Amino acid sequence: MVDSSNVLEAWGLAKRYNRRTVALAGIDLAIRRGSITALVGPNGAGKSTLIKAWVGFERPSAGRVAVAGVDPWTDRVAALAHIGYVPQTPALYRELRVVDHVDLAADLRGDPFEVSIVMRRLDELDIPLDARAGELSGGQSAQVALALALGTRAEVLLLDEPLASLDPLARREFLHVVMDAVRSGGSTALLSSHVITDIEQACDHIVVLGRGRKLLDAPIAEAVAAHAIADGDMTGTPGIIGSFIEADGTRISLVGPTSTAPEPAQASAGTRPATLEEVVLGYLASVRGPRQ
Amino acid sequence: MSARSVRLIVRQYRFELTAIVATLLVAAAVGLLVLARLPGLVEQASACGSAYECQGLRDDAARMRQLGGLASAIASAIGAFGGIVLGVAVVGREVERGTAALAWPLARSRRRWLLTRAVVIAAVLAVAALIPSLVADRLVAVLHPGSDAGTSFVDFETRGLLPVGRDLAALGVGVLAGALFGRVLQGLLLALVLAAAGNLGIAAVVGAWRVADAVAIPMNGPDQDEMYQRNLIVDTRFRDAAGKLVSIEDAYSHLSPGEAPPGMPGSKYETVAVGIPGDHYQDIDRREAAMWVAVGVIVLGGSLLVVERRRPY
Repeated sequence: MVDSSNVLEAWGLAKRYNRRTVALAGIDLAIRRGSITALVGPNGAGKSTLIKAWVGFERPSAGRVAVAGVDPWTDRVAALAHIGYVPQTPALYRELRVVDHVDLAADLRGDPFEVSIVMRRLDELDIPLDARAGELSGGQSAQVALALALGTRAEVLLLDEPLASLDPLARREFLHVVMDAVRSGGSTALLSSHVITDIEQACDHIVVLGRGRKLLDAPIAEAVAAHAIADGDMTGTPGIIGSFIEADGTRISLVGPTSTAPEPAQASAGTRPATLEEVVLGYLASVRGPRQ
Repeated sequence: MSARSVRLIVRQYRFELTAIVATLLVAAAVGLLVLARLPGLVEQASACGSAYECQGLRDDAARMRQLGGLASAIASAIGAFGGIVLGVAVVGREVERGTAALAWPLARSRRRWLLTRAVVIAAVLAVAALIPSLVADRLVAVLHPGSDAGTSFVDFETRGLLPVGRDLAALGVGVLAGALFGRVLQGLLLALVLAAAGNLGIAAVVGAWRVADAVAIPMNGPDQDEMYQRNLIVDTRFRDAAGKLVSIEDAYSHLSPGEAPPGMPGSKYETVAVGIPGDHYQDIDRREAAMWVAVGVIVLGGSLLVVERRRPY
């Protein structure tokens, strides 16, 4: 059922590439308007596939998706009107200058493409307009791709691990632009990332995927509050999500609600509050097996 | 489509376009050179006579004729190959380099995205291919004295509108192959295979088409070579005393013992060529060029379907 407060929805979404490779296995998800949602999971968890299903690149094997209530596979033009997309390692036209990309995007998109927004972003980031795309760094290319996506004035920004190749400063600038677009422009953003500090800084909601399944879907503050950390490997114990090893070699376990709509964890002897990173690691460990 | 769109599209394919257009223009320039110099050389050689000292002039004229023929042939081949190379780049290179993943969501309509590119590139290719083709038209009178380009089929596959139509069909095949593979090299190989197979298939269709339009052309004129050059001969038949055209097998089956075989002196059959008269050259040129363009459009339609459904990576 389409809910107008959600801009991205998936119902029972499954994607199978062949009999062995299952990228997504029955995802139900709704991304609320005005949120910045982090999409987290190990490589192969299905993050990119999920985003690509919304962009209309991947056809669901089962279930369906909607962008602002529109199925991107059956009505791609209408669905893409709501989407600004930044692909993983965005590739620009290396024969063209940065400013040519702006012109190209304006031609491709037609109305309503806001050239002034793109130019302002590029200017703020000191990206030379006359530089050929082939001369830009990975970070600058990602920024150009993001600026073009922002120029579409789309309701939702789908950002498929755009931070992966960026240095910390470039990541910070990128996230600032995304946060600004959401807060002042009324957009919604879905950011696929592995970097927990970036997520803590920019996002208000988190979705964790593992082996094509949704493991966690909650506001970040609630997710952190609903979980706790216990010392030792408690795999198999009721209420334990997963156990994993810390940097110092000690093994700890994530204690939390068994439901994906978390309730505050019961404080008990031997537990301490979990950090967001520990929550994510605990869920990832839950699909990796008992001893990681 | 704005001038800015055209400029940006041309800039994206400028390496291929520059190479192909430059080669076609060089071929046209060579043709113009032949056009300018050959008549004078022929005249000088003719005035000089058959003396040994005049051999150099005759050799120069022969080389100039070869150059003219070669320029037309190269322009024809480069136009078709260039069409394939450009066509493969339209989708294949975009997918291979990852730019399709950026452009398709921006464009929203992949159909519009592809058509805009294809139309701009097709227009540039058509204009570039038309120039050597028109020069080749002018060369007919110089390379084949006595022939008129407008009423003769001499060298008809390398001049007029036909090469342009063929180049556009090659472009369409390239687009389809690039869209199917999403890779340049594989797309190029597939396009070459498709073009070769398609050429064979279309040659069969065109052959049947020409046969249907062919009429009997007497072979008893003074200049048989001129007759073969001027008209598009598709078959040879035999006319019996009643005026009926028969094949050689039929003619032999009705042969009485001791009777001269068809085609031999004393035969009761008159040998006739079956072909399309040179007067119809322009109609045939337009018709076959239009057919190739139609093939290109159909293949491009197939590419649209592929692009609509494929992934941009």
